[in-house]
Amino acid sequence: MIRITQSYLINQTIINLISKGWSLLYSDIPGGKRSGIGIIANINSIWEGLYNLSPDIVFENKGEILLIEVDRNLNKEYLEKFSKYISKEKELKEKLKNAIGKEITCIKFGFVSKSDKYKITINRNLKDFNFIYFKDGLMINKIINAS
Amino acid sequence: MVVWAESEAEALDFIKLIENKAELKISNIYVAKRSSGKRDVGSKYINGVYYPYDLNRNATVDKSIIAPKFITDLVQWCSPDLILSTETKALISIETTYHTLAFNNVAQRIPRQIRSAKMGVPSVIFQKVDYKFKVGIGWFTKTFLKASKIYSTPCLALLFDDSEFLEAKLSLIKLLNARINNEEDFNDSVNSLTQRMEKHAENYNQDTLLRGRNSKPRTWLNMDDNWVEVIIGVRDNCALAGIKGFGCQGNDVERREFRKTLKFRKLGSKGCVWLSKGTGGMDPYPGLVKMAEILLCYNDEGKRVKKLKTYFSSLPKDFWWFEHNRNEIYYRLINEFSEKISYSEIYK
Repeated sequence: MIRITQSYLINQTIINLISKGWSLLYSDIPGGKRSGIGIIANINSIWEGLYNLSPDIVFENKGEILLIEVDRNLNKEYLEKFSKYISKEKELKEKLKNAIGKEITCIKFGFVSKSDKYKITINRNLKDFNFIYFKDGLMINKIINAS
Repeated sequence: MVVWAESEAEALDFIKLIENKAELKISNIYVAKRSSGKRDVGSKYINGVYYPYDLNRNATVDKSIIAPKFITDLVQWCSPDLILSTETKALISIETTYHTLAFNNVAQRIPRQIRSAKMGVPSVIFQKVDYKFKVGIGWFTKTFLKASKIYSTPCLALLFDDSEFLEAKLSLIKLLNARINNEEDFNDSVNSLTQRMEKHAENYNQDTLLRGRNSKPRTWLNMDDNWVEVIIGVRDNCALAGIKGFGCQGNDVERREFRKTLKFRKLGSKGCVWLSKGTGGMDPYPGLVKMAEILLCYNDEGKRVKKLKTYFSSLPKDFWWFEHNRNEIYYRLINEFSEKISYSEIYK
């Protein structure tokens, strides 16, 4: 039997979203090399510089950015974290544009959960929120607050 | 080839780093630390407990195995990022880091490589640097050069800055391939890396270790004719708060409550390292102790000429964390590395 670890959830999300056309910009796998080199280092320093914290995974697709946090359960702290990211959205878009050389059209948020349930209300400012979990090895992505 | 990694991420980062250029033919991967939470933790690997990593399912398997003694022996001073082995012997231990070498991390990984050298297994650290940090690079490379001499085993540092990353990566792959396939090529790679380290170690000067800016003596190091003394100045803020039963100085219930407040504290507010980290406030002191020992207790011929002692200058011996964690790995290592250990009479 395999163990559903944080690393497992991150790796499976990366594999699934890359197959759907997303490009991986950054990931923070437990015990991994968050500081990185080249583009990974640049992306990490953007978050550390703006917020002094960073998301677990960052994807890009045609100018859209998807920021993902990963944990056992979605809770209030993560919603606060997303609100922090939104509070400096303009600066974030500008810095990401400089780092990857592409105009950033929008920033979306998502959460990969070990559990398929969540017990909190997801703020309306988190439009098209991706609540992701895995069932029998398949990735399920519920879009909440769809615009 | 068997890969023994500190964590899943280390194994995967390594595979990504060497691409398909290394002639490894990996048959099995085992990981030392795992967790369902945000950080891979655990120290069962000290007793040989490792978890198989399934490359097809990209996941760690629940059922553990017991590593052979030649691996367990190597990880007693903390797990290196990776060890490559055959079924019967360890070939090389590897550290890879993209954190730029700085004062606060210069010694952090040193014990793992010195342990490898002590056990007769070559080691290499793939280390990003800023070449302006000449003092630190001098300490770093000199430590490994001396360890190579003391233990007659290659203990290597492969340094690179951003612009040299690709070249350094190829040097690492070349070294690993040589270690697996060809002893002569491996010796050539070792000699070439050693020459580069010697060049960097020209910056080393014992005075830079003992004295800081304006020639002021370092607060963490003393030396006389017979002894080298490492002074560990880590404090306990809860004890210094002077409130009876406060924070980590409280009873079990008070500690639990305080730990909860730490979890939800605002960014930038003060914490308590003794409650929030398994290693307490001990990092990076084992590294500093070992670095001081190698650099100052041995002469250039690799002969031991001084003894080593450690002094906790701000914590008394009966500090609760010491009493609860006698076998915690970093505290154990400080005890193991020091011939004499002493404590402050009071909290400072």
